[in-house]
Amino acid sequence: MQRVRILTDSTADVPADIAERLGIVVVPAYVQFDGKSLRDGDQISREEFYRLLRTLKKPPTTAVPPAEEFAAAFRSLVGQAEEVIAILLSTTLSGMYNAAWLGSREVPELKIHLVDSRQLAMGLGWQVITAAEAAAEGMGSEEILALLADLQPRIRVLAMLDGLDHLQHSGRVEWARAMAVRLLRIKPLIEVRDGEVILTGRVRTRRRAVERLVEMTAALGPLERLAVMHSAASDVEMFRRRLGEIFPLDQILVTQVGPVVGAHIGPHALGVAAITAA
Amino acid sequence: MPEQRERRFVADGQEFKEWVRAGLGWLQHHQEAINALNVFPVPDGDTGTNMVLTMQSAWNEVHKSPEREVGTIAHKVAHGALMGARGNSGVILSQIWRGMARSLDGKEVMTGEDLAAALEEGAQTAYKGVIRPVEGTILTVAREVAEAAAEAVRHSEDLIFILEQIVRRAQDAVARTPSLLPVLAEAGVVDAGGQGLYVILEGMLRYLRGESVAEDLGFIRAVDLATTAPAPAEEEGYGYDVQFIIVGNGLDVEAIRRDIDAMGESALVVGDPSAVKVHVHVPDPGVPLSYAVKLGSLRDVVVEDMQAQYQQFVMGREQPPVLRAPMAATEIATVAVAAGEGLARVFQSLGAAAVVHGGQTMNPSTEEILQAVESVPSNRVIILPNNKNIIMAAEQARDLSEKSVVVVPTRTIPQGIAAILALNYQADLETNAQTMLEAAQEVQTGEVTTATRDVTLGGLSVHKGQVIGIHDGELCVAGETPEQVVEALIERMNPSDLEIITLYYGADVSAEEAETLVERLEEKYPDLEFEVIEGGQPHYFYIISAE
Repeated sequence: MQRVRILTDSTADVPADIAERLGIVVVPAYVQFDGKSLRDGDQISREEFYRLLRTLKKPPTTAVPPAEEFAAAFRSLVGQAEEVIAILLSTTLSGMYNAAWLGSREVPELKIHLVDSRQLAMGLGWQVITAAEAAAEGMGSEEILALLADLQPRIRVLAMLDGLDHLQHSGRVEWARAMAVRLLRIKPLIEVRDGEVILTGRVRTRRRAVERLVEMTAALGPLERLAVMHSAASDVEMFRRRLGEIFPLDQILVTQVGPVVGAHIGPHALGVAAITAA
Repeated sequence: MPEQRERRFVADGQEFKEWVRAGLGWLQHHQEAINALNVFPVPDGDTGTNMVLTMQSAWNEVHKSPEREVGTIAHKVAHGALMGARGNSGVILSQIWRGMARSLDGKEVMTGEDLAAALEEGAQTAYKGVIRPVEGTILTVAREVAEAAAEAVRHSEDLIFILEQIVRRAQDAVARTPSLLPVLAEAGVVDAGGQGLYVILEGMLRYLRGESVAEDLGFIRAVDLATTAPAPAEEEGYGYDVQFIIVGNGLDVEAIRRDIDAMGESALVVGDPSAVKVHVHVPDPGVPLSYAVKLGSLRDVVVEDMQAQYQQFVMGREQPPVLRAPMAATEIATVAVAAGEGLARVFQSLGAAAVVHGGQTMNPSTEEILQAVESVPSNRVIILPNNKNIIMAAEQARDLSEKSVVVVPTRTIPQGIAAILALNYQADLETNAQTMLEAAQEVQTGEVTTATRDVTLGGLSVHKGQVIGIHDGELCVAGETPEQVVEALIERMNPSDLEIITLYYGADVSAEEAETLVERLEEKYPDLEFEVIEGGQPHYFYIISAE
């Protein structure tokens, strides 16, 4: 029996094969549109979601799973591990952590540590993968928690969105809401830092936005790990190759952003989640 | 019979004022002729108008000053010129005054030698005020004038003699500007700023000789210092300073100028068929007002008793108010110059803290830009002039402000928009200036307007009234309709390398016309993204931004 198991929510975008190999438990989030509420992954695929996103008149909404689903996930680990570390979508952006906390109270027989990732998508995903790798090596919970504390400030998440519409509709990001009067089409460059979505640039063309993103990634300095994130962007392979100039191409992980984050940032976004060298 | 010539050896402050007034009057008289010397046949910031407004501001500063010391008056003239400086020629002219004032500092009267020294210092200051001085411009004329004065003073200390030599050399220097600056030769004009300086000096000479400097100013007689008592404070007895804007349709600027000229003194009439600004000194304010009200509706009417409180910066207040947006004091504020409500809105939507009204046709003064800089609640300010003829005035405003100010020398509206988009609130001013300038250079600009005269430039022959297209400052297309010229411009912009084209349509274009044009363009270039935005700019049918 492994001493520690790692649990997360589906917004971490951890690829299924990695999750399976490392024994990561993923609790799916929900996306709602046209009166339906569908579970990320098994009830709607990401490809399907982005196809639908283009045609929807009303923007989709997202929902955290009921606490009971977290409780069920924790329960499934009873007898499988001594302790569980649950690493979750940033509390600044979602109620995911709260749902997990409520769920954890239903399973008192298991020692559960909750970690606020202060991140989203692969910014969360890298924390989950790193912790799961350490757990697989037999590391204890205290060591893993210390590892995460060291890791969090070194995680950088940069992205370019294809437009501002979805972020504005989402209402979660203050500056995006404030840019109510928009006369020009703009592609915002953003960074997620300590749970906050920060506007780092405004660019007019996609080509230049991609260029800036590559430059900004290169400016992060030496990297331990690098993931490309996208929301059904067609130029993701080109972007990956550009990043190959600054990081070994075969080690760049490509992930599709899930519907919860995707509904807020819209399609055609590109980004990176990097772990900078210690 | 030998001609008995009048001679003059010193000028005091009051006399110096008369020189300024005569220079202004003669310049006003030649304003339109100087405006016509624009190299580009576009309704650009008119050099004649800009220099008149600059001199007018200088005159406003001193016309009630009673001081007799020439040093004091010269400083006031320089200050007025500095604040009122508009356009590059206006800025250089204000620098000449600044240098002269420095040279005359502390002097009671000005001798011929003082004049020569002042002109020398004026020319030097003007050269220093330009990063890359270009010969064949007002700078050349200023330098040669100083040389002529230095030579003349060796022969005679008589101010009239010296001014005669100066004016002769100025005329000669202006005539030679096309041989120094090929673009002038190509356009078949002499340098407008140089011509303006020559005219100002000639006006001073005419005054000294007792000749008329302009019909509207009447016959101004030189005051002979040796024989007369101190000049009276109110020589003319013109009692009211009247200002207003006539808003109407198809206003005849020329006719209005003629009529207003006849009514009073120091008349200033500028504008276009939709709005004309009038400023005149008259004995009865009712006369110009009842005349103007028949032509259109009146705005911003100001009537002031000239005896009353001295009115500083009269020229500064007449522009539409500076538009401001709320912001945090610690942020970097951006001040953008733009003509047209739509363009102002675009800049505001992108976070500009203040938009100064102005652009191609009406260049804002140093003071107007300075006021905007001072009005924003931030101590770090970036100015986007968005026009090549406003950059120097913006730089002067920067130098006058106590705040940390940088000028990003954007030359077009699309460049200004690209620059403001690149603003990074987290970075410092200098870093931003660099990033914003780089961003500005990544965008291509097309401008579509009407040729204001016949010209052949760069092998392209253009007739007055034709629609012309300018690509990144270069006149390159002439056609019959704005739409045709827009298409030709886009063709030159390497459309296969572009992603997004924005059309800002002007006051003379309807939304339907712009939409129709874009529909056609979308068919022609299916891979490009098009945006149509109401710019509301005067005179320019379209401003095109291509990235």
